[in-house]
Amino acid sequence: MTSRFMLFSDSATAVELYPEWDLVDKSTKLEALHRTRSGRSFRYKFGDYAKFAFSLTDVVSADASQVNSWWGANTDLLFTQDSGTTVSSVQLFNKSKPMGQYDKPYETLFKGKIELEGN
Amino acid sequence: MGLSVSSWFIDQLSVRNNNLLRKFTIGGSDYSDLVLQWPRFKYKWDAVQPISLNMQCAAESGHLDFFRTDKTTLRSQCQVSFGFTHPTSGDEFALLYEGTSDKVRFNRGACSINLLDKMKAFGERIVGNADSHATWTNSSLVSDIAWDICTSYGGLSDVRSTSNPDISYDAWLAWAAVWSADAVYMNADFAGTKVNEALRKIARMTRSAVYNDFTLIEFTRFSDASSKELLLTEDTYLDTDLFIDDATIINDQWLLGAYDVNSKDWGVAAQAVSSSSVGSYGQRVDVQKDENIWFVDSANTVNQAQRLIQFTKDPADQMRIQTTLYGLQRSLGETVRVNDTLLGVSSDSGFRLLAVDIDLDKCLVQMDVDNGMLLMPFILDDAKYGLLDQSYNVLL
Repeated sequence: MTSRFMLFSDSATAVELYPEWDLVDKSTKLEALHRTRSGRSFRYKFGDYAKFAFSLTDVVSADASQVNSWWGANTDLLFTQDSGTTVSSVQLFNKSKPMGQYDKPYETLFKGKIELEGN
Repeated sequence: MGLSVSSWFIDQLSVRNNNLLRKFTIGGSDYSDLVLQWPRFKYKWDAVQPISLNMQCAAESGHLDFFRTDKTTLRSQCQVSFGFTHPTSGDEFALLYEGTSDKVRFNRGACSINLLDKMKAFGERIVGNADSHATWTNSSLVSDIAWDICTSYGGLSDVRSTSNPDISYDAWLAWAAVWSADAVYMNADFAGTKVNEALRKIARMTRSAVYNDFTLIEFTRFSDASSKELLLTEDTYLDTDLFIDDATIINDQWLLGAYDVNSKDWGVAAQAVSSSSVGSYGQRVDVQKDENIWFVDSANTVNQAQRLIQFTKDPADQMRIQTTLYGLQRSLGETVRVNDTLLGVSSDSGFRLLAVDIDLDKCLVQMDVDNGMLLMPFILDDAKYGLLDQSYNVLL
């Protein structure tokens, strides 16, 4: 498990997260890249957006419920590492409910996958 | 005329690693952030027809609902531009397309906006009708006939200055000067021909280019190679195709003139033959006549027939060159030089840029060029057009 991250919609509504080691920062660049006949590159960058994916385990039902609620409402969120200075504006982009599975053998804890992308 | 931008902007088109800005406005308001896919559109030297363009936008936010709630906005002025950020003076944009929205489709959260440029009206309006012909009977300059058709019948602005918002006045003046200098006169008689078809007939009879140059209607008669050149090498193009089409050859050109509307007789039948071309390719006859617009006398008709054959007596090299936005440095009618060792094409021979296909989504530009559309001048002490050997600065 990694260090603490925070996911919040406003100063009063935040969830502490401890992502598994599968956390990846896949922030994506939008660009057109072309190679000329001689192999030289022409690159036009239009923009970029943040993209993170990670697994969570041992999530208490209140936090799981909050995350699922954000997912259902496409809520604008902020995501940051506790010790970091970068704050990313994101939304939950999971196709299905992110925290929808019990963390066996506990019926009060949940696990799932979080997919965050810049909005 | 081309892009209306600064020299700094033109320099940016050569930069191989750049941040690109793209802008879509509706009624002057910026909706660029809603664009899902940027459009692809083509400008052609002889396409007297509206250029249609489709903007795919995201509509979930409700920002485009005004099309439904206020139907008067359906016909809004829209612009598509691209640009770069200047380090000190901020963003600079080049206008690539200007048109009016005429159809909007909302589907599953997306909104498809169809745009048509100012030539749309040309397909809806007519020149004269069966009861009242539109006639030019006093030996007019063809430029004056075209001006009347565009303004009186096509509905474009008739302001005779560079502030005309529809017609490139400078280009029209230069085109008019060609006919005036050569004392070339035409008569015309239209009885319900659509404006775009009437202009197409003018373009065909005079072998002129009539096209929408991003925002203004341009008139040009191609002759000598334009001094505005762009050199494309293997470092700057992505791919090339070269076509040679036997069907383009005409070496026995007939042109009928001095038409009598009442008797329906042609007073002049001019012929121009290239015997060397006939010897090489066999006889290729073409008869050009038009009962709506014609040259008024023998000298004008013969002159035009001889001019036509200069372009068509030999098969031309036609190339399709794919580049990045680098290719937008030159506009239609200007000169492109190509260096392609694979095809054996050297930069000595020039091509005229006849069509530009812009894919703003992928940032690709496809250029159609033709070396048969250039009448190369002979300048003795010039390395490109004459016999100057630059190595020794002497004539060969």
